[in-house]
Amino acid sequence: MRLKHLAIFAAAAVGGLSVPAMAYDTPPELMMVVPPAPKGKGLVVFYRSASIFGAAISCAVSENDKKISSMGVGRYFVYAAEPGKHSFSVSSEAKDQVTLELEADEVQYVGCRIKMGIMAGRPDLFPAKEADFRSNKKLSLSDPKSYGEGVLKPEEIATLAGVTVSTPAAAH
Amino acid sequence: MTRAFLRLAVCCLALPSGILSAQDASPGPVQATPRVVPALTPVRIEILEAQGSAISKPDAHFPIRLVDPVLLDGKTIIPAGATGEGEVVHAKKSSMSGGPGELILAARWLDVNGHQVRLRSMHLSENGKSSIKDVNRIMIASAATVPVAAMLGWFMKGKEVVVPSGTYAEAKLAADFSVEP
Repeated sequence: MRLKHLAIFAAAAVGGLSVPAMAYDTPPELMMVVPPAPKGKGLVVFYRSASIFGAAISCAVSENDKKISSMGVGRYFVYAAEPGKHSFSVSSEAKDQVTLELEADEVQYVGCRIKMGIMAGRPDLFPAKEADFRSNKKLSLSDPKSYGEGVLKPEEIATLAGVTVSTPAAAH
Repeated sequence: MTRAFLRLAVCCLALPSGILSAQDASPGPVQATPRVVPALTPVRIEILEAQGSAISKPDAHFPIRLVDPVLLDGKTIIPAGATGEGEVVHAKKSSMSGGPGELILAARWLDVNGHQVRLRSMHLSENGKSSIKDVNRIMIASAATVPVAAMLGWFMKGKEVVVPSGTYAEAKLAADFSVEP
């Protein structure tokens, strides 16, 4: 038990302590829900697994230096954009970037993880598949307060996916 | 005399219109309806030049070839072997701290009788084997015991992605493709 606490402390210490974890209660009906793309648009699902390593570091995703949204541990968000090439980046002490070819009416996946850095953990974006996303049993939507332009809000996801939400979402 | 003249005049006026009516009633030249291979028809292509996260450069082009012919009503519309071009969308070498190589390729077009038939949705997105989890485990364990040893993990690299020449991939036609019958 003592060793476990020590390990958690070490992970947080090396990973960095910068951003508090966001607390947003995703309606249960929307957990892990990925809607079909709006007509003519491409969708990207950005997700972050529930790993304790670098848990205090946020994955803040940007496109052309414009923030799209950020994710805490075990969170995801859905971004809709025009088809074509899109480069997404995350940065801390170093910048990481992934470029995708968005196709109309299709969904793509990008994961974010924290790598070891010199002074702090470094967020790292990587192209993923739906199976990678689904291998995370429980991912919640990131806090809508952090959404930039193009990120689908929970109610938009519900509408596109044809899901009826019985419990209103709440943020703490 | 006057009646006979009038009859002749009516006949002369009616004749051309009768001929025209007959012409209208006769079937005109048959309009050729182009046959259409619909957008999103799946195609299998072969990558003709080795690609990899360590050797490919973003925006670089590479040759591709159609593996199976595109058929419509049993007739070959695009023959197997039609050549075209793909593009490297994303390439990243493996990095320190166990980061694996990443590679995303896209099929762009096939050449059909001098026309470029656009392609889309080639989902050949590969990541090398990641060592990030191993590095993180080493780091957590060593940070709790021998902090200096944690730095060793920083020098570990993930695996590169290699897509050999001859690799098959699925793509789709980006738009309807019309052919004369």
